Amino acid sequence: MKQLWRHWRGRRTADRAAGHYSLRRRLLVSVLGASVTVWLVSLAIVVTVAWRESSEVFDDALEESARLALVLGIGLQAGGTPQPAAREAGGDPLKLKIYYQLVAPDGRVLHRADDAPRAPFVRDFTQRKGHRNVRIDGDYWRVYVQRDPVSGLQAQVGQPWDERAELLEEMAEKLAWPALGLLLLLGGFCWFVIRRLLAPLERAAAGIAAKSPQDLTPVSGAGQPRELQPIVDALNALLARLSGALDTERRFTADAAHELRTPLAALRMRLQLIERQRGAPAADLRALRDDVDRCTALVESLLALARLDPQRGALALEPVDLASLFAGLDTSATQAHGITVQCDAQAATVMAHPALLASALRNLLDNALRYGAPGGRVQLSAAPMASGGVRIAVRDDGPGVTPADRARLGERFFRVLGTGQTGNGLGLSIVARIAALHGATLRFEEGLQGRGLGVVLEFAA
Amino acid sequence: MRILLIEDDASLGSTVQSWLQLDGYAVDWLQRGDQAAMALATHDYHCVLLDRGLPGLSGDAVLQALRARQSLLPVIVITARDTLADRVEGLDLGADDYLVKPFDLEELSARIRAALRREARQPSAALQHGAVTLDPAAKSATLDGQLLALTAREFAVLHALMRKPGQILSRAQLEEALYGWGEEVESNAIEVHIYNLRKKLGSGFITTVRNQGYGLAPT
Repeated sequence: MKQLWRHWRGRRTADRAAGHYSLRRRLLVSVLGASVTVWLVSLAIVVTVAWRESSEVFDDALEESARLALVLGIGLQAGGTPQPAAREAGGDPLKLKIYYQLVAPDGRVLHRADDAPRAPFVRDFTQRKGHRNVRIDGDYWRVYVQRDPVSGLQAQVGQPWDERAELLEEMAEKLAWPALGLLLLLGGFCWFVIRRLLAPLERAAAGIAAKSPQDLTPVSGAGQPRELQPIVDALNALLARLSGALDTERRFTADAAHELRTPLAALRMRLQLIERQRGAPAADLRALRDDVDRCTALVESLLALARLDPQRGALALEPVDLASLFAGLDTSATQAHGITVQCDAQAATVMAHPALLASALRNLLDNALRYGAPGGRVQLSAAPMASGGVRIAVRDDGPGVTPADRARLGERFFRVLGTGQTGNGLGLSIVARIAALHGATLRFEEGLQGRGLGVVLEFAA
Repeated sequence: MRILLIEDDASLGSTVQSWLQLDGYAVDWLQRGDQAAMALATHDYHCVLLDRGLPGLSGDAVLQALRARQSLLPVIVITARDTLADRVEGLDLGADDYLVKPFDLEELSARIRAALRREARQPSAALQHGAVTLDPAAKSATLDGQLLALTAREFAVLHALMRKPGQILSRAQLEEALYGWGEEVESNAIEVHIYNLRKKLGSGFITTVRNQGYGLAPT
C-alpha cells in the first residue's frame, strides 16, 4: 500500500515536471467545482428570497398587531381593566411572539406585554405609523409604531431580530443537509460517468502500448468514440509514413546489395580468369580474390538482412525437431579449426521457421568458429524452460566479449575490435532479426567455464 | 562445342567468354535478348548460358520461345535473382540449371559439362569409344591408356565426334562447333585436324563419308 502510494506520488511528480495533467481529474474538478458554485449560489438565492418573504410576513404581522393593540389601547383608556395575557412558557419558536407597548403621548409606557422592555421602543415618533429598527440593551429589534391621531396614543409592537434570524437559520439547516447529500450524489455520479467515458482512451493507449516495436500495422479505431478518431487516424498516418520510410530504407538496402552483386561477380570472375591465364595463381591475386569474397559476403549478408522484413506478416511456424536440426548443421569448417562441437538437445522440438532457425544457428556457429579459441570447444544446447518455452544456446570457450561490448553485439556493423577476424558485423544482427521475427529473446552471457561468449535464444511456449 | 552466352553486363560477359574459350568451347556472346532469339533460330548450339534480365527481350521470353519450338537444347540460367521463388520459376520456365551470381567459373565449367553430358545421354563424365577415352573435364584423351598429345582444336573435333558416336557430322557442323563468330576459319582447317587426329589415333578410328562428313568407325 505504501509502495503504491509512493509510486503514485512519484508518477504525479514526474507528470507535473513534464507538464502532463490528468484529463479525468480536471474534468472531475471542473464539473464538481461548477456544481458546488451553482449549489451555493442557489442556496444563497433561496435563503435571501425566504428571508425577504418571511420578513414581509413578519412586518405585516407586526403592523396588524399594532393596529389591534391600538384599538384595544384606545378602549382601555376609555375604561376597564387590562387583563395581562399569560404567555405560555417556551413554545414554538416559529410562532410569532408579539412584544407590544402602549405608549402615552408624553412617552410613558401605559401598558406592555410581560417580556417587552419597560422603556418605549421608540421615543420621538412623529409620524402616524411606520417601521423602525432599534437597539435596546444590546438587542436589535424590529418595531412597528402606530399612533392614534385623536388621542396621540401609540401602539409599539416589536420583534427581536434574533428570533427572525433563528427562524432563518433553522430553515437553512433543514435545507443544507439534503442539498449536501444531493451534492455528494452528483459528485459520485460525475466521477463514475467520467471514469466510464474516459475508459476507451485508456483502452486505446493500452492497445498502442501493447504493439511490438516491429509492428507498424494500423491501430483499430473500431469501438472508439468519434473524438478519439482524429488521434487514431493521425497515429495510423504516422505509422504508415514510418512503415513507408522503413520500407524505402529496406528496399534501398536490398536494391543496392542486389546491384552490387553483378559488378562484384564480374570482378571476381575476371580475377579467376587472370589466374588461369597466368597459369599458377599469384599470391597477390589470391589476396585480391579474398578481398572480393569478403565484399561479396557482406553484400550477401546485407541482402539476407533486408529480406528478413518484419512487415512481411507472421512467420509460418512449425515444430522443428532440434536433434535433427543440430545434426543437419554443417560443422566441417568448425572442425577444420580444431574446434570440437558438442550438441545437446534436451528439448525435442521448438516452434520456429526451420530455414530461419537454421540460418541463425549457422551464423552463431560461424561466429564461434571465428572468435572462439583454436582447439577449443563449442557447445550447442537446447533445453526446455520452466515457462514451457525452449532455450537454445551456442557457447564457446574463446576470449569472450566484455560486458560493455556485449550490449552492442546485436547492432549492425558492430565488431569487437582487435579480434583479427574479417567478419562484417552483420551475423548477429541477422540472428537478432530472426529472434525478433520469432518473438524470441536474444541474450549474451558468459560462455563455457566462465570464459568465452554464450548466445542464448529463448523461444516462448 | 559451341556455346551461346547471353549476358548484358559487358565485363562479366567478356570474362565468361574468355574463360569458356580457355575451356575449348566456341563462344558466341550476345548482350540483347532479341539478338539471342535470332541467333538461336539460325545457328546450332550445344549449350546456352542465359541471363534473365536482358534488354530487347527478357531471358525468360527467349527461354519460353526456345522451349515452344520443342528444342531440348541445354539452357543454364545465370542470374542475380536468387530467391527460392526465382529459382523455382526459372527452372519451371525450362532451364536445365540455375546458377546465381556471383558464381565460381570452375563451377560454371562443371555445370556446362554436366549439361552437355545429360544432353548426350551419357552416364559418366568420360567418353569412350573403342580404345579411345576422352575426359572433357580434364581436357585429356587416352588411347589404350596412353595419354594423347592433342591441340585444343583437335580435342574439340574429337569431342564433337565422340559425343554422338552414331552420327555423321558435316564439315560445316564441325566448323560451327569449333569456331565462334569473328574467328578466322581456314578453308581446309577441319581436314587438317582430321588428318592429325588420324595420325595420333590410327587411321581407322575416324571414317569419312563421301559428301556427308565424318563419323566414328563402329567398334
